[in-house]
Amino acid sequence: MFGKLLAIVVVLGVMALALLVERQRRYETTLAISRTHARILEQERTLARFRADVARRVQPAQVRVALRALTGEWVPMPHRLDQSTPPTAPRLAADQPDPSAPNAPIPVEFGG
Amino acid sequence: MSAAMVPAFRSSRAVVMLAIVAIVLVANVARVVQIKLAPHPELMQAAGKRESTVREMALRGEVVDRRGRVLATSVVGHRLFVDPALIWEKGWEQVKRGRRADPDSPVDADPFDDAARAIGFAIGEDPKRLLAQLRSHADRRYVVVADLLEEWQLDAIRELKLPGVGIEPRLVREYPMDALAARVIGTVRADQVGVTGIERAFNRSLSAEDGSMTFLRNVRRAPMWIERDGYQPATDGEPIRLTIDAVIQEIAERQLDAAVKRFNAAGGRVVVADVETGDILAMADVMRQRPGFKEIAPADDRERKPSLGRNRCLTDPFEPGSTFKPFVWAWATKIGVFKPESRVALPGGGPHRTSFGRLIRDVKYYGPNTWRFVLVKSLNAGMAIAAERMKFKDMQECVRAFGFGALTGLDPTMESRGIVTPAKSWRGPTQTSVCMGHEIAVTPVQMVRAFLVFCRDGTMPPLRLVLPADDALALVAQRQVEGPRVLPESLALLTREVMADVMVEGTGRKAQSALYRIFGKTGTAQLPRPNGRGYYEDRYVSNFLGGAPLTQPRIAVIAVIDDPDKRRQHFGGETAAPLARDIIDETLQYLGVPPDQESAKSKSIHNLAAAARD
Repeated sequence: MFGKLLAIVVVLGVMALALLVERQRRYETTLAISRTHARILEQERTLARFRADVARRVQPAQVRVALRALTGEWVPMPHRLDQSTPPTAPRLAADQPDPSAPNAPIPVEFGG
Repeated sequence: MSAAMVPAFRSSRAVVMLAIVAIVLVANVARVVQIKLAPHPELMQAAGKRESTVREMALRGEVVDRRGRVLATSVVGHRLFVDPALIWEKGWEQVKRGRRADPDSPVDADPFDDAARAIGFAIGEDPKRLLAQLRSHADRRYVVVADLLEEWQLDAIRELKLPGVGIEPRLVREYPMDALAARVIGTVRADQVGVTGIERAFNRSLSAEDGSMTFLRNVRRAPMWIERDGYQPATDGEPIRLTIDAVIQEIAERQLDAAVKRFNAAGGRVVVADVETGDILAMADVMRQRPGFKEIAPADDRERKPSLGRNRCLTDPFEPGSTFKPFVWAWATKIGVFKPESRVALPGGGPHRTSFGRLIRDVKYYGPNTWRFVLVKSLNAGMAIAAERMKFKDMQECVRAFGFGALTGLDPTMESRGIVTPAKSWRGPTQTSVCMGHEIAVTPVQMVRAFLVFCRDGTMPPLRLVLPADDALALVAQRQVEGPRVLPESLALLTREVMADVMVEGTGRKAQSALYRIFGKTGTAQLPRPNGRGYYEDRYVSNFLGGAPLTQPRIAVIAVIDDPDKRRQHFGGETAAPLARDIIDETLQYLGVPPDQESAKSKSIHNLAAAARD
């Protein structure tokens, strides 16, 4: 009988321990999730700050000054793909691929 | 004890033990339940507050240009504040501790002075100013020392770990391109609510909604458990994608600023629109205070902050003068008042007298000539003769068909409809004034919208300032936006051709481009007096409305120079037209449009590129 009681107590103890372990895991998971969430928010804020920094450094006036400092003829980006303007990419004219070549890259245009 | 009694004894002992164990377990469970559900107040007090709520800041939506360049964004900045009372208290506690450890230590310490020196060193501020701030607010618990910390200042303050010094995150609206397109974008209040421009007009969609998280915290105050409804996620504002191109905007603002200074003008306005879609590519507005001049329109708040000023391209109508003639010319041609080659009985020796006795003057009196000649030379008499042949309702229909007196819808919160004489007040003088752009006031955006009729096939598309943000391919796949037909296609083309002659034989001669064949019309009108009594004799608004290239127009531009200094230049053909030409040249090159002037074709940048390839 004593053995049975002991077994019952041990089983209850193990069950309680298992529940405690499970509870602890839930807490730790919650903590990890909240920390990850905070890190994601922080990254998003950093990303927003970087985007602002990049925009500040590529102000049109600054880009124009930088372009002037470079030698070589620059080719403007075409207005749109569906227009008849020559398919050129924004790079040095001397580096322009021949658009009539069979494997010439398709120009990429992000706006007009 | 008999052998038979042993099991019974053991059995009863086991029952007792079982009962005790059961009671203990049940008591434990009951205690746990009681502590969980109805803890004793003293226990609650000892445990302290177990829940925390943190605010999750949401970011206001970005404003980007048509190519995705960031024009306005929200970033999380940090504000530095101090608690003077706590600094004082903790400072003296430290002194007392020091005295206990070393009774001979000096007691002339000043916690404010120590804190001011430490903070000043950390953020690069004058400690004396900080000390004065601390002393003057000694009884307060919250004093802002720096509204926005730089990264290095933030790190230095965090290193300090000084009691009573705190850092508070706050949202900051950043405009990375500085004052570029400031009047279009507008600005926000400290609480991130738009007060002018796009920030105001689209405040609802740009606005963000902060979230919150309520959690059960552990001993280190970190989240231990979050209930199902304890977390409300933050909702960032939606981004707004403008039709403005930052580069074209920069071109327009730079050229406009230079022209306004060159002609010592009170200000200037420029609008550049895409012919096919009605997209506003640039909208610039410059104002300046001139010593010795009494300005008619004050520069309101823009001296303090550029984005606080109203966007006059939308808000301030002006009398266009001769730039209005092409609209009446085309309409008169459409309804058959004259054909382009019809002979018009223009006066040869003096002003034309209207049927109601009004004298219509011109700079030069050419004598009878063609209807086409009337527009090329911008002859007031010819326009008045046509206007007299038109019925009042024809002229009113002309004004209405080209969209004058109606909103463009670019910014309903602040846009002006312009001023058009009501039909019931329309008289003969109105008829002959409106035909040459007087007694009617229009906004630059209305003029550009109307001019698109000539640049296209006679249809007038609605103007756009905002693109659909969720359609990344909208620009690549864009096609001509439809609009109501105002003129037959042939007549739109014809008017364009006549306006190309204006640049060769007419008032636009000094603004010819070496690269592109521009068509357009100049205008110079006297400025009305603010009290409504007549016009200034020597103050003008000069403007030019044009487009290019002639055969396949890509952009339409209006340039307005407000009140240029007459001692320098004041005619539209000499002030606004060269400005528009420079903007057209630079913009079309940026857009990669090949020059169409014969003389320039060999110098075309595309030919240069081809030559470089060869």
